[in-house]
Order: sequence, then C-alpha cells, then structure tokens
Amino acid sequence: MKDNRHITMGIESSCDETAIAILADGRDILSNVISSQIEIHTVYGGVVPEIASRHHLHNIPFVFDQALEEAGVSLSEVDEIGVTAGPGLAGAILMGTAYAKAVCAASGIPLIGVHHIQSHIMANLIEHPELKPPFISLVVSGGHTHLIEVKGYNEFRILGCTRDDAVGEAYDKVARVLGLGYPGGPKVDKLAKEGNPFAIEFKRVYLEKDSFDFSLSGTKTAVINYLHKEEQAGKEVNRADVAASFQEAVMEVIIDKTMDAAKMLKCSELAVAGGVASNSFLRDKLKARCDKAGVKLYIPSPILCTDNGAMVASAAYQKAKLGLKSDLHLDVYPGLSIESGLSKLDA
Amino acid sequence: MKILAIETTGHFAGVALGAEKIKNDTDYSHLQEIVPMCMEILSKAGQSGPELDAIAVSRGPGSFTGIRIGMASAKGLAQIWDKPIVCVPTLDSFAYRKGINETDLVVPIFDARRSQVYAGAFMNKKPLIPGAAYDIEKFKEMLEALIRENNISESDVHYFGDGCSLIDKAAEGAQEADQVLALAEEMFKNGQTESCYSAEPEYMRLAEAERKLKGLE
Repeated sequence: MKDNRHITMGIESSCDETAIAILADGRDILSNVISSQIEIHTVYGGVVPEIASRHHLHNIPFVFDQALEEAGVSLSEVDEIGVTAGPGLAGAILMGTAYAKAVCAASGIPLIGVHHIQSHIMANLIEHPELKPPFISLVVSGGHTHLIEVKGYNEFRILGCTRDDAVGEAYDKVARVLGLGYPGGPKVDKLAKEGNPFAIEFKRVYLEKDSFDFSLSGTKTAVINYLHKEEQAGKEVNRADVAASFQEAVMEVIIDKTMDAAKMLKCSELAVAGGVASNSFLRDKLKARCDKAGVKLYIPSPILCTDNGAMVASAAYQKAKLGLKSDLHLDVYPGLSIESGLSKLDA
Repeated sequence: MKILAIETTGHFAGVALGAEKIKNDTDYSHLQEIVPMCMEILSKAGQSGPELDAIAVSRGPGSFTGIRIGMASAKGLAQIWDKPIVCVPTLDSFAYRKGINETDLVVPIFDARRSQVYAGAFMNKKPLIPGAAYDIEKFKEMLEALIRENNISESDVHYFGDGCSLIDKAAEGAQEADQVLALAEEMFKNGQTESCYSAEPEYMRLAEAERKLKGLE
C-alpha cells in the first residue's frame, strides 16, 4: 500500500517485450516500462525464441528497477506481483516467471500467475472503470485470434478462435511478400491507407454457418497467389491496393463474426484487445459497425494493446480481489487455455 | 562465509548452503522447484536471505533453459537481498568435487549435440584442457594425449556428465550444487563477483539463428 492505495506490479515476457508496470488501485498507471527487442529480431524476419529468452534474462533486473523508480514506489509498498505464466514462447515466459518467483520469495510479496490473453482483455479496465463483465472480447494479436465471452474477471468462454494463422501472423506473411519487412501489421496498415480496398477481391473464409472460428490462411494464400500470377504475367502490382484489399478481406470476416457474436449473446459491450487492436482500419470499421448496432466499443490506447506490464497488473489486481494467488511452485504453460486452464495457476 | 549455491544446468536441480545440500529428484522441474528449494535450504541452515554474503549460480554450459532458470532466480534473489552474484563456470566446478584427490584427473563431458561436447579436464583444480565446446573426436584425441603424456593411470581419471558415453566412458555423476558452492567460495574470496545486472550465463554457443545469420552453418 502507498498513500492508502493498493499497488500491483505486473511482469510480462511472453514474446519479445520485457515489460514491467506498476498500477495503483488496479487502474492508475504509475509506470509502464517496455523494453522491446523488435530491432534485434528484425534481421531474422521474426521473433527467435532462444534469442528473445537470452535478452529477457539480461533486461529484466533493469526494467524492474526502472518500473519502481518511475512509479516512485518502493518494493515494500507493492501488494502483489502478477506475472504472465502462459500462453507464449516457453523460454520467454520462463524468464519472467522464474524472476518473479525469486523476487516474491525474497520479499514475501504474494505471487499471482496470470493468463496472457486474460491480461490483454483486462487492459481495457485500466482506462474504462465502467466496463464490467459480462461482455465479449475480440482478441487479435500476432499469436492469437479469439472471440471470447468474458463471464467474470477470471472466467472466460471461447466462442471461436483461428484454425490456422493468427491475424498478426497473416499480416506478417503478407508484409513479407510485399517486401515491407517485419513487423508486418503496422506496415500493411500504413500502406493500405494509400490503396483501394475494393481493387482486388481476395477470398473470404466464413467457415460453417454459426461458427465463430476463423480461418485466415486462405486469404493470405490468395494474396501470395495473386502476386505470383501478376508477376508471371509481367504486370506491375499496385502494392497499396494489395495491402488495402487484403486488410479489407481479413477484417471484414473478423468484424462480421464479432458483430454476430454480440448479437447472439445479446451483448451490448465489446472490448477489443491484443497488438492488432492498434490497427487503425480495424478500429475505424469496428467503431462504425458498433455504433450502428448500438454496441459500446472499448479499445485500449495503443500502448496498452501491445504486450505490456500494466495489463498483467490489471489482471493480477482483479485476481487478488477474488482472493486468488499462486504459490512458489508455479509452472509455465505455453499453450494454456483461457477457458479450462486458469486454475492451474492458482494455489 | 554464507553463500547460497544454485545448480540448474543439468537434469536435476540442486542447492547448497554451508554443509546443507538439497537435490531435486524429478528430471527437469527446475522452474517449479528451484526457488522453493532456495527457501527450504535457508530455513534448514537456520539462515535468512539478507544474512547471506552472496548468491552463487552455475552459469553454464549446459541446458540453455536450465542455465537461464538458475540465473534468473539468482538475479531476482540477489537484487532484492542486495547481494553479489558469483557466476561459477559449470565445467570447472567439477574440479572442486568432494572426494577428488590432487592427482586425479577430473573430466566433465556434457552432450552439446551437433557432434560436439562441452568438456574440460582438470587436475588439482587447474585446467589441463580448459572448459569449452569441442568436436567429440577432437576432445577425445586431446584427452588421450594428455593422459598418455602425463602417464595418468586410467583409475585416476574420473568422468562426469551426460556426454561421457559419447567417448565410450561411464559417468560417475553429474552436476552437483556443493561443487558449485566450493568453487564459489574461492571465487568470492578472490573478489570474483558480479551484480544482478552484470551476471551473465556462459552458453558456449550462439543461438541457432545467429549461427545461420553469421554463416556458421
């Protein structure tokens, strides 16, 4: 406690960001330090797990100090420490978790293992205290594409998820074939602004009627095939049109299914989460559709969409309020289910 | 001298403090067990973390993930308790193993895959073949020459680690936390300490993607 406020630290290392944040009363961001490794992995065209793990180990004590210092909080004032224990890259989540356990053991501060997707969803609570379960959430990132019914702060039902590529993954691959480099999401989004989204009709995959699952690799492959065909025919490709048309095709399906889910569950609140929630096209389109359908849309600020410690602290704060915590034997779970796996994290 | 030593580079995690030693009997459960084991041994030894002089950690080579779990745990403990870290070279620690005589040749060999071993040879705590990554055949030749030239009796040669079978030898054991502690005590006396910020693992190998990028494979 500091000045009668509840202090939560969040530690995140599930991919290529070493991030630690301090929240007061689960809402106010006192610090949110993110040490990104993007530049290190760019030469490899994507995140290399072994290299990410090596850098997490080096970075984490520095990020920890900086998070406390920027927050003006001493460790003895921290009420609990949340850490991502899955899903994610095994070697990467291991680093945050091993370090968090040592810090908690040495300081006596309670440890709370949290689910990475739960954290992304709970990022919405930081800026929107009025948002309370139940609501539905669209989680879109480099590793995840999920439609989730948020039944409680620690209770989730998966309505649908991708059967192949995650949306961020599809963006990365399309960026690569367009020669845009890594990371692909923001680059495709930017180039698409200069293009015509209806120039090329790329395949849209809706799967079975009433299914909320996604299949994005077909659209991605359609883009690759289109580029091959044009190249073979010796035609010059308008890359901006390709980016815009790909984005239109992928996002149309995602948005249609999200709106269908809201309608089916008669849910009037939608929270978007994950790195791809920063995509300007998605934000604008979804806003328009939600306004039309009378659904209130929540999207975190871009800094809270990317992997960060504040979202972990937000999730940990909510778990602490439910009386949930982990013991020092906490393990990591690279493929942890948000629907059926959460109890593995609790003591 | 009160040093808490952590060993997680091999199959079984261990900790040592003073005369106390705890070894986990479950293969590769380092993450779950190592921090609880640190707390258990402190309580067994009647010590508290803040009373320690240093945290020692076996820095590698060995399992990359294992090395990192030990190092991350050591960093966290050292940072909160404000202690130095002694980064103990894992292969060299075998030279400090209990029951080894001055005339014995200690040969730790770890399987490094890709036809290589992380290995060394030590006598009276001195490296005769320095701990490093070697091609299996090359190490075998170096070791045979060393034994031959120094007239070392085969009964005085002691092999350790999971790579012994690669040169057709039987291992007498593997990594142990008390040998890490023994070398750490000497390093601490010599002022060979790091902080939680400067402590680094010794992988003895670049990540595969880095090797490919540099054209090493």
